[in-house]
Amino acid sequence: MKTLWLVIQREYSTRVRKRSFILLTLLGPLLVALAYGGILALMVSEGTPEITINVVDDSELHLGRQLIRENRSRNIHLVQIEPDYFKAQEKAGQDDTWDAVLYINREPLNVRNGINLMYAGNKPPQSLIRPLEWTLTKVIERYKLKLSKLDPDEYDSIRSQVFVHLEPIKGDGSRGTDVQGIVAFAASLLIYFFILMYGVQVLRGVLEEKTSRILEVMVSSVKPFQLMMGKIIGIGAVGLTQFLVWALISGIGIQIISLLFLGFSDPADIAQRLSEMEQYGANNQSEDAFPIGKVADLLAGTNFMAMGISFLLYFIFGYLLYASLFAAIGAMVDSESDTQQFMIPLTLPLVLAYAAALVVLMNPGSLAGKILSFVPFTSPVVMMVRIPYGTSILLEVLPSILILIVTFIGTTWLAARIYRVGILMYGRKPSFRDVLRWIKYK
Amino acid sequence: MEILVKAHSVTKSYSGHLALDHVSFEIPRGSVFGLLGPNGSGKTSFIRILTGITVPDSGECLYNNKPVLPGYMNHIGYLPEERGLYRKMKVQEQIEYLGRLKGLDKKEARKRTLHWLDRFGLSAWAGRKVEDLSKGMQQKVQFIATVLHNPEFLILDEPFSGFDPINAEMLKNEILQLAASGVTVMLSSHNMNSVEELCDHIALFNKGKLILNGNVKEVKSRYNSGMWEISFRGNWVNFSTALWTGARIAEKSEDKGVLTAVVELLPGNSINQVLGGLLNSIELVSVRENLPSMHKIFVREVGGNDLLNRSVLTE
Repeated sequence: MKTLWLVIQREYSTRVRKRSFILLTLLGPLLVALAYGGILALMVSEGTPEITINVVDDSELHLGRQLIRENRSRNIHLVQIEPDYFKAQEKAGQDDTWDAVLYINREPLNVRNGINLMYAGNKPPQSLIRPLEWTLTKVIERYKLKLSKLDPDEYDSIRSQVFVHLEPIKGDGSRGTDVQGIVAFAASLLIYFFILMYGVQVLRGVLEEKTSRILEVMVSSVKPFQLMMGKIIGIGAVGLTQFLVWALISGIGIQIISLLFLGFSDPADIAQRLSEMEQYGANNQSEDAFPIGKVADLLAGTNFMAMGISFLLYFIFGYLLYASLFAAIGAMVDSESDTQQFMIPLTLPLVLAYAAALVVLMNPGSLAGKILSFVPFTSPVVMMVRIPYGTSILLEVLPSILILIVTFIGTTWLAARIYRVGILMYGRKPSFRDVLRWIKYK
Repeated sequence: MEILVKAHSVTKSYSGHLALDHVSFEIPRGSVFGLLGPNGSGKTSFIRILTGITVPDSGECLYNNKPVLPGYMNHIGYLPEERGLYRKMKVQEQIEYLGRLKGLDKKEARKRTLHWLDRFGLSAWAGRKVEDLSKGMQQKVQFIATVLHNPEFLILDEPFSGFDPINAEMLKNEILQLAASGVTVMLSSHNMNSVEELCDHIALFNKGKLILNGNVKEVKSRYNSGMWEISFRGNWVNFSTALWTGARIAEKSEDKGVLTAVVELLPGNSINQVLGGLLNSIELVSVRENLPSMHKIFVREVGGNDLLNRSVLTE
């Protein structure tokens, strides 16, 4: 145990003291913060572009005039022009000097092509079209109301907009929301990158020891298994350190930048703002239908606890599983250029897991996602995304973690056997048959 | 004579190649033991079993009459043929780390490291990275790391390879000093003559087999073929005439008026009879038995043809 601890210490301290590590650890979150700041700055400064729309009303219903009166958007400037003038200009080829023309034809109540928006230059963004549509709907509704001789108040009381609120029938830890889904996906993405980044570091570390020929000295003092585990744990600890520092600095950085740009710093507020922008004009009673303002409550709920613990377990054992195999690959070869042949079969399941996580995010019931969330080589990434969507902790997550742990023990045993022989082999690149023989060695 | 290491019928093969073939011998405590043989003869395979890095397919190695156990590694110091250090680590840290892996506590490891660095004139380099050191200095660092924990058994695989003559001499003196303080030393070499003067016991390997082993003097006298070195003042004609049918001259040399002949006694003659005949004709300076070198013994054992095929063997 003491030697294992010494190996872990060395692996950890030599890496943490490296200039490149310190630089990346400090600059990493700065880059993230800058990117985040950049996005916010873009949103705040640029926002929605302004547009001048020439309204041509051919309908004789005076919808155009009403539209101009009802328009509340500061970014949309409406100017009415006479149909005759428009046609003359069109004939003369002058119409392309306009930003856009909203053409209301003779039968504006025709839903399919009663109203057209022709634009020059770039296509106007949805954030401009939605409020325009919303105002037009209102104007046409009012016109129809007048025709039907209905009482406007009565109509308002009848008019309804329904949002289906999704609620699972049983289980309390499964009130999945889109926010939780995104948090879970971010967590699984983190696991994916962590495994890849630090797994490769383990491989490099073993290779470095091999090429510097220190291994024979080491294995005369330390058991190869201890040496391998020491390296894996030490590098894992380096990764955790980096991760924690990043989380800390990023958290502080995001607070500061949010304050600078938006004047508020509660993430729930930001989410609210973003959703408002998204939902602009669609519904003015959105609070009940889309409870995004309750993010903080949700994050503090039991589901989040389960997610947090699962994240830690998947994070640690997923890394250990892959790191042991990366160590075995490092022991098999002499130089980094020889690693490719062995790297592909190892990174493939990771990439597959990443793709499956995306599928699960869109369709939580995906069968492939379900299967892959039990396969130990993909489960750390895939199951994380499934947890918020009514996945049973006891019947699915726990067994999946147990399978992962058992496989980890198996691969570590296997890797240790390969490692033990491989680290003293130089020269020839081993074939898979050689490696099988190594495993069988006494 | 107390036995420290006992190898009993040790056999090891790698993918069909027999690296060690039923090897049995003993290493006496306090001896300087030479493991000799050409490259690929099984020396390193044997050392790796002795250091616990690999295990034999059959047979066993006993250390202090007990099977090789993990704990025993702290009693041995091992300098592998392939030298290696963590290149990015500082010299002092590196030595301390390797010492602590052998069970030294932090304080003791530091104390001994500083002592050895001073002794090898490397104090100024303590804080430098290993990769900044010259190859000779790295070799010294490696040697310090091997002996820092005061091992009772020192295994040195080809210790002189890569050392320049000055450092090789220094290393030789260190080995002799350690041996004098009671440390049992086993060193391997394919260069038989270079270690002959260091070792009191040897084992000779060829193609995975142990050819001969034992006390160096005993082995040599076993292979003594009646060669004597006689130095005298006089002339060659008188000398050869006086030898007559008692002995045959194998080599002649002359240095500052002293003539030296290596003679081979002919069957039925003793050195006393030959000397008796010589004393009237020459002025005798010295007489000593000319024992064969390990290299010659090896050549005789494995056959000259076999040796010619092994260009790796150097004298």
